[in-house]
Amino acid sequence: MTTQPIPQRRSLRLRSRLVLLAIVPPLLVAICIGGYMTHARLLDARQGLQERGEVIATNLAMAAELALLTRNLPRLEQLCQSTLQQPHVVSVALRDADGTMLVQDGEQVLNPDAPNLYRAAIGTIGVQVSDFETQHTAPLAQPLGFAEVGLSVDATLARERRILLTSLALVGIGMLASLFAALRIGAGIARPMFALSHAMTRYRRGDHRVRLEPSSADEIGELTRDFNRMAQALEGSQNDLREQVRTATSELQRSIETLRTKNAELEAARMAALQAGQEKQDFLARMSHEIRTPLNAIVGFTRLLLEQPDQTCSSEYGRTIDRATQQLLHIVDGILNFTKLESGHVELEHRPFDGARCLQDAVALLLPAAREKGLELTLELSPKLPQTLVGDAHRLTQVLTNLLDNAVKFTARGQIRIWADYDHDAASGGRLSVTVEDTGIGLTALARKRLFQPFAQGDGSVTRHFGGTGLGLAICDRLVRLMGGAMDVQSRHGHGSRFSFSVPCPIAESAHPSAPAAIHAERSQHRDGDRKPRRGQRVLIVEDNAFNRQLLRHMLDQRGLEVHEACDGVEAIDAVRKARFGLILMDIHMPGLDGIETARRISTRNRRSDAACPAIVALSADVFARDHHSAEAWPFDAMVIKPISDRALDQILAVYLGANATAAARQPHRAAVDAAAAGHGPITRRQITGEIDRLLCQLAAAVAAAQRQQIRDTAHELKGLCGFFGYRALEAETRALEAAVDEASPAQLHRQLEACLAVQRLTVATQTAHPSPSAGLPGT
Amino acid sequence: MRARPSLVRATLVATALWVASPPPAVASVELLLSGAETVYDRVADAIQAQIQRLDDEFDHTLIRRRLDATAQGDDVSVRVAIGLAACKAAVRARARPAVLCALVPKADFMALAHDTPKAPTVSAIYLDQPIARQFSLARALVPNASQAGLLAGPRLQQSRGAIISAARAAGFTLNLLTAQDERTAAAAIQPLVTDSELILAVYDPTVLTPTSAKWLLHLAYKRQRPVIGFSRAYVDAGAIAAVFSTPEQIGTQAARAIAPFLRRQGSGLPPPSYPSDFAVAVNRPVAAALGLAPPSDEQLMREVAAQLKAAL
Repeated sequence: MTTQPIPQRRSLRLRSRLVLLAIVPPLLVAICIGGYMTHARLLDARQGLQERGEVIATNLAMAAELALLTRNLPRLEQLCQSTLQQPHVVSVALRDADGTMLVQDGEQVLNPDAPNLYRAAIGTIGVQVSDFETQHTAPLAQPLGFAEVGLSVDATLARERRILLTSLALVGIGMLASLFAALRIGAGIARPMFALSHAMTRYRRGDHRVRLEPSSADEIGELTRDFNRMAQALEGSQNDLREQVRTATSELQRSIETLRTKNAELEAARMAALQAGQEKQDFLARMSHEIRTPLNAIVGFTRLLLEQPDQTCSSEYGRTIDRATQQLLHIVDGILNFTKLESGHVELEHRPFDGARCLQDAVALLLPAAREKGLELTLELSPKLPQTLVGDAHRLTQVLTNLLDNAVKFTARGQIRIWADYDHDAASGGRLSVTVEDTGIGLTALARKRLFQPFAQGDGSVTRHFGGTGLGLAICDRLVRLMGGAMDVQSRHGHGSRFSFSVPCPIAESAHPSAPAAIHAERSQHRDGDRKPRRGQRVLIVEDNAFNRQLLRHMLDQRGLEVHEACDGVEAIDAVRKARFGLILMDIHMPGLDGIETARRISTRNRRSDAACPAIVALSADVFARDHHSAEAWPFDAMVIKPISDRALDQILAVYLGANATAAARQPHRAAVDAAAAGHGPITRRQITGEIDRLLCQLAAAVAAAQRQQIRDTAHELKGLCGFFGYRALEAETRALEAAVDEASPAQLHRQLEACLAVQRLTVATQTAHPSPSAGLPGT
Repeated sequence: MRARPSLVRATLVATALWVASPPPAVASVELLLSGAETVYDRVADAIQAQIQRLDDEFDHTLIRRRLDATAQGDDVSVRVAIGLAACKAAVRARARPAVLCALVPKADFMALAHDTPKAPTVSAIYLDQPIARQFSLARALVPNASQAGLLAGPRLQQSRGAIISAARAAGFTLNLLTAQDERTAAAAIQPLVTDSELILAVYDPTVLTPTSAKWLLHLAYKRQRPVIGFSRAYVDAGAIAAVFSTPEQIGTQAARAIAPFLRRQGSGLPPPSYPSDFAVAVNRPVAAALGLAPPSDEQLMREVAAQLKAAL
């Protein structure tokens, strides 16, 4: 839409226009009417004067007719004098018919044609006398004479002047009244217009709150109200726009802030990722070192054993290989524990336990190592510590064990002091505090900062000097936080460290402490000092894989325990029915009745018969096996991850049978494996290889027949065998085959089988290249 | 255009017969009017009407002519001059038949007759009324009045005795004032009105001008004096009553006067006389204003006639 420009003329202000509009027409009308009226009044005045003069003259003529007719001059003079008394009459004269002056009074008027001289004929009207009048006897006869009256010019002029002045005064008054009215009316119109213009100017300059007070109900008032409505609408629109802009700006700012925060978080995440990546690289390098170091030892000493089957050295080599293996297992266990914590698969137990005994058992575990390094290890328990607490005693033990392990590791001399306290007033209903203080190398500020981060250690020198994965304290920190507590560290480099943590542990209400048997056993063991394992206790091995059964049997035989075997769940239940066992080691994954169902049935049976239920410990290569089941559905008392280390076995035995693990620990089961004979003797590598080959053939037949259940069962058995005896490459391939059995096509299953066969052929080729009377464990 | 031969021949025959014929045997009458005024025609009309009534018995010719006409017949038997001007012209004419002047003032006719004594057959019917008629009318109107006033001009002064006699005959004491002209007449009106019970306005143009007549009426009315006039016009102007003769009455009288000429029974005319027939007019509003109750016009006529007859 285009706006047509208004033609601009020489502009006058509105008020001036209104004044002119109100003045000019009345002025013109007043001039015209006033002029006309003045002229008319002047004419009237002159005519009135003339009429007056004529009337006076006519009256005089009528009055003087008889006197003139009779020549009564005194009477004529009297008439003249009386006429002269009338206003403005200045001269009176009476003349004869022939113009002869008879009587004259007042001013003498010589000129008979003077303007203010009025003449009237005397005796011009008579009556008809005869019915037969002729011309000379007509009623309108010759006048008898003339009466002349002169009026004053001054009076006429004064009257005309008065008329003019009056007219001018009236016009002037009218004009002043019109001007006053115009100014008032103009002001009445112009003032709201000026106010409106001023308001619009203010509005244009940004004062959007300007409003006008409607002065009247006329068009200007309506215009004012329209302006107010327009301003209101515009202000509303602008407010809406402003609000929208503000909202958009706010949202934009929030977005920017969010982006900034996100950027910061991303930057932090990036930095953390970089840091984590760096630390993982460091960790990988460290793990490579940590893992390769024992592996090198294992490989090297294994080759020495193979190359130099000297009985004098083989024992030393075997112990070295066993330490390296234990170290390696420790590293792997740490990684697995941390992985479980990170994945959130750890569930805490809330059971009553003996707090003092729990602490004492943990100390007892590290007491030998401390003594070995000549360190003094003391435990101080606060009198406020209740006897029975509720919590996860196993995790508490793990935390304290880690802390003590570090203290022993990083303390060359001096002492390690542990004390425990209990806060009854804590908001959570009681809080257990434990402090481990050592006189070790201490921590730098940087090391303290990164202390609980995974894969981080004090510095490279620490790693190089002391080794370790750097996961111990990270695991402790996460466990403590998982239990609702917090961990603290105070340390100075070179002046020792003080680690403390506190966790909520409410006091158990009328419950007997069910401290783990292991703790009790450990405590008893360390309390008794050289307590021997109780020989002859029955242990039932439930394992579908014969080699696994054989290895476990050998390991348990070495610990003087009476070992029974069951190949599946049914046999296990039958065996439990026939005899009483102190411990059942049961594989979870078994064909037919699996380990979980078997354990559940055994527990159920024993509860029905009120018989003492033996401890049932699950055996599995799946570190997350426990996580797949709820606590109610988990019938086992504990679980051991395959491959089973002597340490783990000793801990299990110590907990559930009170057996001395350390005795067995001096004979690594790996060496025992090599020395094992068929049946109750050691297992040869050839036997293992043969078993693997058998299972592979069985697996190939199942794949060829596309019997998926058979494939799954055989692959599971093969995977367990490989895991048990450390065939990691084959275990991985077999695990992949098992995982893919449900959804993979026959061709894919076939290719995966080929991969398993290839790995096995490579292993056999390696073993063939390094023949040995008793074959070593396959490398990875 | 060519004239028809028969029409020309007939015209020539007629002309020859007229030239060769003897003088007419019938009387001829010429009506000579002084002017074109209506009053003259009314008189002429009355004469002609009356002559036509007589025409059944006698043959005559009647010629009506105005004074300013160029044609003039010298062989008329009698000439009736209507108006003073026609009368003068007829009297002073070279070929002069019998002349009867009608509608002429008595004084003027008397003066004209005096100036032309050789006039054989000249007579007149006057314009004015005999003064006795006015006194009779005055007596009929105001029976109890005794003092009658009369303004006489130079002409009436010659008839002073007759006037006084007539007044006396009517039972009035005459207050006769004389004037020479209008101015002196005006001066005499005031005492006349003051001293008379009623005033008789007599025809005399020298003193009774329209102006003086107006003042007479004005002052008489002011004094509650009835004015007895001699014309209907003056009655209309304010006089209480008047006795007068109409033009028709004068014409009829003139026709009767010239009847012997038509019958060829004589060559003379009756002597000059006042109109024999007359009428009265009464201004009754004026009479009522003056407190008078005049009888009807016919009654007045009878009373006037009765008084005149008694006076004879």
